[in-house]
Amino acid sequence: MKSVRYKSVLGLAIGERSLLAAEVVMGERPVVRRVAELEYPPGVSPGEASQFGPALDSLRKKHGFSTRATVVGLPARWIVVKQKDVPSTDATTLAGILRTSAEGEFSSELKNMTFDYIESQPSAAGKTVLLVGTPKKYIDAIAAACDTAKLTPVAITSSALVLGAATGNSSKPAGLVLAIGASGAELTAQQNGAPSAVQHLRAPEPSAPFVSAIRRAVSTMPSPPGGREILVWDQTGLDAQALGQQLGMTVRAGELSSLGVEVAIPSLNGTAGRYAPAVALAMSMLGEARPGVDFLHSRLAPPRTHRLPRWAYLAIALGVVLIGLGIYSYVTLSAQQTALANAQNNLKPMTDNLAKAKSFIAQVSYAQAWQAGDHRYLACLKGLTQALSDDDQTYAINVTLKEVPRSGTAAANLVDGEKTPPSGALAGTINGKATDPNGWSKLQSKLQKSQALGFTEVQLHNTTNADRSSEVSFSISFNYQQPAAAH
Amino acid sequence: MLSLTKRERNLAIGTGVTVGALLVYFVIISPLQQAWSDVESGQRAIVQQQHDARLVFNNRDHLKKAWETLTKSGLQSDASLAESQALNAVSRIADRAGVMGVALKTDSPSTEGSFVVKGVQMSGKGTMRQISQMIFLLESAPTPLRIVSLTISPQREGTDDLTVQMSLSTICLAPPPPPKTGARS
Repeated sequence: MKSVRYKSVLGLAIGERSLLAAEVVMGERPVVRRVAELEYPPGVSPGEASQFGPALDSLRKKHGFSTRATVVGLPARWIVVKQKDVPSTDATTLAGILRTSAEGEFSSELKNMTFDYIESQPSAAGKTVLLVGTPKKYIDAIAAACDTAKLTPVAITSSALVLGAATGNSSKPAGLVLAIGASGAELTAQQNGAPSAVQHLRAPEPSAPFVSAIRRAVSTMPSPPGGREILVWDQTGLDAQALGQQLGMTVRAGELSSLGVEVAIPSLNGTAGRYAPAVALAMSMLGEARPGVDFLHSRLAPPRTHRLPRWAYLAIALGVVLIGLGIYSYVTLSAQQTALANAQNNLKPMTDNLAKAKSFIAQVSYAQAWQAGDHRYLACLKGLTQALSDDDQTYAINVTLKEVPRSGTAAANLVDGEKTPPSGALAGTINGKATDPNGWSKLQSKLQKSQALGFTEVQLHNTTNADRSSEVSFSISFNYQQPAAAH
Repeated sequence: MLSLTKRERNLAIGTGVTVGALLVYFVIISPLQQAWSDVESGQRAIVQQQHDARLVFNNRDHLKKAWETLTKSGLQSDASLAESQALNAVSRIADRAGVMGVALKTDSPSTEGSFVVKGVQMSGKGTMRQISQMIFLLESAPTPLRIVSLTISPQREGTDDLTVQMSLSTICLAPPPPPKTGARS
């Protein structure tokens, strides 16, 4: 259970006819700030949440209880107790032993009961625990009533056990603690600093049967080491000394200050002791203190059983993660597909414009071939002139230049409704004569080396020496593509 | 109930997990991967199309200016006007360059896309300087003219008296195609 420090706690001690409430605030010495008593209206029972809840809520509002954290004490009549000797062992093993023991002791009622236990000081032989149980229906009813009254139940325990434990640990400890109410009394025995027994007794009136009941109860309880002294917390105005004389035992009345609290309510005028059960309940949860028995956080609650092994949980978690990823992926994919479809739809109107633009580009590109500024014939003639030697030994007779027709496929194909423009390349033939036998080869060599000027595929076709002189006729073909820089 | 040894159980679990993983892969992961791949390639194609389209539109905008220049500098929409314009231009240029004995002849027109191409045959006589001057002027002329072929040969071997024969072409816009008639019933 998570450790919480409560600075103020409301104690509610449920009785058979009335409920005692006390609000205790933490300080250097805890202070009882408010107390109240709720006498149940006719038809209201604390075991019935539907009636008890509104009554509790009106009590809270009427007396101005501002604390939400509440410790509820059940009457002794609602609980069953069994003392058990157990070996000294760890808490988990002890809980297992007590759970098994409870199954044996209360098997028929176990399903509807909530159990917890109080340990005594361990001895060499082991230790004694007090097994305490109460029907679940009371726990549920009280939790529901607190919810209706906007209170937060932080513990549900036994008023008698908490009061007994508080008295046992007080400045004036006593072996037996008797809390007397108008409708009944609760007797608790202390042993080794822990409650060892609790009994519900009849109402204090008439006196004789009540005294007899106390005698019987005391005789069944183990005799405490300090002798049989009874500490009485009385709500009815009983004379403690007279009771002691009747019982033949020492009886003294309890004082609230012995529980270690201050009472800041002057109107109580010496009657503060009647609220001792509620104060003890609030004190049991104040600061880091916790009551010995807490049905709300029972240590004997059956451990959670795992239906599935650990690996199955991991597998399920992995499966859930994978399914989540799959769903995320699918959703994202769908969104992307939608976005893609939208983008494709948006492109459709552009397609017509695009086709017109391409057609326009092809049209202009074609027509640009007839535009001024492309001096390829002049550039080709200039190149040929430069290549011919200026020694009058080699000269051209005939020059033919013509456009290289487009390749068959390009010539036939239309690009976006337009013919591809002419290539711009020229094919040429130069026929000439050279008096120098090597003149033609010099010309051919010069043309071959002048690729930077645009001449390519320079080929000699024939050379003839027809008239038996040293003059040689030749024919050279070439291709010409005007260099880009010359445009 | 069938009892399995630990080894058998582990084998069964391993087989089950493997089969399950394969099923998940082939039924879910693989189709999802394929779909993602399709979407990604579609997105890449869209981006490429948009990029290409942008280039085309930019090119079109750039060529609008060139088209304006072409139309302003004499691109005709009538074939006979274009022919007349070309003949005048060649004759004037030859005269300006000093090429003598110019003879001009036209070819029959041919339609090339949205243009009509008209051929012009030209011959003349002159020196290499005059012929070069004429070629320069023809290639610089604002009139849509294009030299298709050129032959230069001497009138008399060893002299600068040359004969030039040229094949030129000019273009004009083709008349718009007649509107399509509806299908006959």
